[in-house]
Amino acid sequence: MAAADDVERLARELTTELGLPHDEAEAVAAQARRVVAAVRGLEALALGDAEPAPVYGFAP
Amino acid sequence: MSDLHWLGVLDLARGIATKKVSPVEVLQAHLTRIEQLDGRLRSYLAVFADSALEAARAAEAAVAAGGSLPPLHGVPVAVKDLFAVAGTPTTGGSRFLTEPARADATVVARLRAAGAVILGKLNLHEFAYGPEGTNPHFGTPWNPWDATVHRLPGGSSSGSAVAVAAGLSPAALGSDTGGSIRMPAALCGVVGLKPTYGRVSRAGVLPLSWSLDHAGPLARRAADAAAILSAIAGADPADPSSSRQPVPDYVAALSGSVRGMRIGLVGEYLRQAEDEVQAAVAGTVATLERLGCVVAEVAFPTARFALGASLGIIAPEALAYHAPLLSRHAREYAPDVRQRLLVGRFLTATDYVTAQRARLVIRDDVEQALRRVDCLLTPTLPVAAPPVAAVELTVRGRVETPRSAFTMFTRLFNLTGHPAIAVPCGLSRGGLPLSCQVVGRAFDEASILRLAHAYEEATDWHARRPAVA
Repeated sequence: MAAADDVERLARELTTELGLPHDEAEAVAAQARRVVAAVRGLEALALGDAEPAPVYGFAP
Repeated sequence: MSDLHWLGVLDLARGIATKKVSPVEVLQAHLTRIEQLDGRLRSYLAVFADSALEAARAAEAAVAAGGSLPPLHGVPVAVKDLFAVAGTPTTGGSRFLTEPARADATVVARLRAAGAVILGKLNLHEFAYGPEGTNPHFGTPWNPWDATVHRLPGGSSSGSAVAVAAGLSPAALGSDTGGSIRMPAALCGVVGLKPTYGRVSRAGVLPLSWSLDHAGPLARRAADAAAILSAIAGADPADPSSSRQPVPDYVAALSGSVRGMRIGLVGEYLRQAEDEVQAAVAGTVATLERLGCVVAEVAFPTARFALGASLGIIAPEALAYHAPLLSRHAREYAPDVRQRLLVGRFLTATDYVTAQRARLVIRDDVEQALRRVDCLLTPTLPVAAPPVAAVELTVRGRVETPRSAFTMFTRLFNLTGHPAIAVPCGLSRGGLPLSCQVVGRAFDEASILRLAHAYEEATDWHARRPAVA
C-alpha cells in the first residue's frame, strides 16, 4: 500500500516528469485520494476464495 | 417520403428495399441536415460525404438490379471516432492521433457487409474517458433538447447521442466502459444498448479498459438498435474477448409477448434518484404492469462496492494503454482526461487484482437476482441534463459532480457484463429527457429489446423531438 502513502509527492513527481503545470499536481492528488479510498474500501467486501476475473474472456 | 431524417433504421431499410425511397435521397437528406445543424451541435468530427455518396449510389444501383439485399442496405450509420474506418484517422477525440487506419474495425466492416453506408465519425469525450461528453479540442456537442442553454450531452459517446437525437443519423455506434452508451442516450432522449461483454467485437476500437469496454448501438427506437446489433454481434477471431454464443435474429425476437415477464426493480438505485426521475420510473412500472409484467423489488448487497471495483480496474487498464502516449503528448490531452489517467499510478497491482476479485463477487450477486427475475429495471441516471457549466449537482441533497452522478446506476453492469439498454421514459419539468435502464441475463439481449419495444409501443416518449431539430 506504499503507493498511496505520499500522494502529494507522487503527484508532484508525475507532473514534473511530464512537464505539466505545477498546479495540476493538486488536482491529480485530490482525485487520487478519492480513487484510492474507493478501491481500498473493497477490503470491507468479503472476498473469501474469489478468484480474479480474467481480463480477456470475461463474460457472465 | 418527407422528413427522411426522422425515419429509423428499419423504416429506411424497408423503404429502400421496396423502392419507395432511394439510398441517395436518404443520404442527401442527412448530409443537408448535418450542414444545417451541426455547426452548432458539433456532433460530427468527420463527415464522409464523398465515400458515403459513392456507397449510396452503389446501393441504389443494387436496388435497381433486383435480387436480395442485405438488412441495412443503403441505411446511413455514423460511428464514434473510437472505431477504425479504413483510410481515416481514429482520433479518439484528440488532436494528436492523426494516422489513418489501415482497416475497418470489425463492427464497421460488419455494418458495411450488412449494407450500411458509413456516414462519418462522431465527437466524444477524449479517449472515451469521461461521462460528461465534453471535448475542449473540437467543442462539446450541444444537447439538442435545450435551444438556449448549453447542456451536457453525456459521454463518452456524446456525438453519437446528439447526432441520433437531432436526426443527423438514424443510428450510431458507441462504446461503453462505465455507461458511455447509456448515459448520453439518456440525456439526449434516445435508446442506447450496451450488449453483454463478449457479444460484440472491439477489434479496431481504441481501448479504454479492456475488461470493461463494450461496443453497441444508439438509435431512436429499440427495434432499430436490434437491427444494428444483429449486424454487428458475433464471434471475431481478432477479439479474444468475443464470445462464440450463437447470435439470434434480434429483430424477429421483438414480436414475442412480454406478458408474465418478471422484472426486478432495483429500489436502492431508484431511491437515490431525483423525484422527477423516480416519478418517470414509477410510470414505467405502471405501463409494464399494464402489459402483463410482474414487477417486484430486488436488492444487491454488494452494489455499493461497484464504484471501487470499477475504478480499481479502469484506472490501471487505461493508464497501461495510454502511458506511452502520455509520455509523448501529455500536454496535448484534455486536463481532466490526463488527470484521470495519472490516477492509475497511485494504485498497486494488489489493488487491481482485488478489484477483479470483487468483480466476480459483485457479478454473482447480480446473477442471483437474475435467477429470480427475467430482467432488472433502474433509472439510467439520477438527474436530467445539467448545464455544461455545472461543476456540482445536488442529487437528493447530496453534492455530486456530474461524473459521479451520471455513473451511479450504469457502471455496475460494465463490471458484471450483463446487457443493459437505456430507454426514454419521460420528460423533466424543464422538458429534458428522462430514461430508465433495463438489464438482462447474459447474452439475452433479445428479452430486454423486446421489453423496450413493447414499452415504446405503449408510450410515445421515443417519438418526442428535441428543441434543436
